[in-house]
Amino acid sequence: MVKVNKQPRTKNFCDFLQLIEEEAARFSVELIPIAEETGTGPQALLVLDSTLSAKRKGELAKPLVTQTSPTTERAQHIALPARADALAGAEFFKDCVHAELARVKKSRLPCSLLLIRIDENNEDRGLLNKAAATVEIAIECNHHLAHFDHATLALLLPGLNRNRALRQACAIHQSLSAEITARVKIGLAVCMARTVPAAEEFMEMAFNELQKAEHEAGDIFYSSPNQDDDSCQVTAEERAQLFSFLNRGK
Amino acid sequence: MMDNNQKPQIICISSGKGGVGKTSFTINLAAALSTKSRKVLLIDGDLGLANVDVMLGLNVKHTLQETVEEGRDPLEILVEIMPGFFVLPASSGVPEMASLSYEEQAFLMDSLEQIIGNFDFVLVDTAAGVGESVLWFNNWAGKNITILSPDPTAMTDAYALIKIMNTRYNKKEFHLIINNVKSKKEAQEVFVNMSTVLENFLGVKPCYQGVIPQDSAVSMAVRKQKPFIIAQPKARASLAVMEICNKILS
Repeated sequence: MVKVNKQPRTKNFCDFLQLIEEEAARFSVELIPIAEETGTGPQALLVLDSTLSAKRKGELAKPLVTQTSPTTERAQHIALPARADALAGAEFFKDCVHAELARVKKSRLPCSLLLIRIDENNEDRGLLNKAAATVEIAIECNHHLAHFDHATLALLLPGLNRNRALRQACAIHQSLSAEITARVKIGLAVCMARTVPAAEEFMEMAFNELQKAEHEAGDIFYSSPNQDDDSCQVTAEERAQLFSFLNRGK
Repeated sequence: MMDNNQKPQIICISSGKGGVGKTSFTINLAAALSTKSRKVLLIDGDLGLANVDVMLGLNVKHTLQETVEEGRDPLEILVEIMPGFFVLPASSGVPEMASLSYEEQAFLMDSLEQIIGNFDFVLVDTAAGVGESVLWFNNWAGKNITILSPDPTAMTDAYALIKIMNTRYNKKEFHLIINNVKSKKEAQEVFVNMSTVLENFLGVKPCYQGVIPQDSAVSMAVRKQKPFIIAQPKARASLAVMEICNKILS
């Protein structure tokens, strides 16, 4: 939801929408103006979190499409649900990664990226789509699933640290193993707030992990010891020193 | 009001543990600064479980909840306690306010930024714990005061808070106030001990901001819902707060 700072002293609804657009520019949101049937001016502004998956955006925008004639220019303008049935492509996914990494810098919450390879030698696109359908059941609405290459799915997990992402990876691997007979390998990269890489670099990190998974015995691979959680747990040593003065008098 | 182009000093007062004396100290510091002809804004940063209004015996009509939810100008919420001492009260028993979304936080910060130029000092009395609001108020402030008392839980929680602010937000300067001590010697022991641990494990050298002795005037003033520096200006705790106030002004 976008809030406008001051009570707008607008002459008309268009001015008001413009105010919202200006405010929304500070956030990673997508604005979709919805015009009147007569085309005289916008009637509403649909504000969507730009990191939502195409599927989710489709779900949100669907009621609006059904209220508008699909043949009109305005309906085409909000025709993004057309993408909902298919999985997002690599370019759209890269935008999502970029937006999510920007958010990590602000929110300080981590995010994780899984690359899920479904039997590289299998050229059957149907197998990848079947795997995608299985993965989609296991993920939440703020997770982003997309095609990475002909045999690989990419899954962006906002807010998930290493441990939670590993648990998610295990759950996905288990589901896929039960649904499809092909070999499944998963590479995981984690982005912590203290070092936020560029989107391309983050995707490359995950790709490197996937390559390692291909050549190692385990099915899920995560390395990079420098990428531990930025845990602030007070250690036993710290506590012992903190309390040392209390014990002096005993 | 005043010219709002000047930059006030923003001081965040936290402790990690609850019941250490944050709110009592913050109210009294605000009152002390205002007696020195400074214009002070006290923000109740415990957004979902506010206490500043209770400690001051206020019957507030509007709170920061209305700023977040309705876009109400914080200037309309301000309550003047005494000449130069203003409070921005928060709501009590509203869990939603204790877990604001990123957008709501940004909106609240923007709203606060628009009014703080009217003041010489902005004091933020944060919630207990290390919740999101505690962290972003501490990150926002130019000066971070951590209150602790000579008991192991208060020390551990104060240390944990400093560790988080240092590790995740790269804050390096922390000011310690030792509250509720039997003697200056005890306060010194606590400070030296905490300093040693902070230096050994985090490389942080804290500043000694002051000490507040155990004093029955404090609990009496809480019951009377008045700042103790006003109710009993000659009490030991009052003199200690005035000393801290002078140190801040110098």
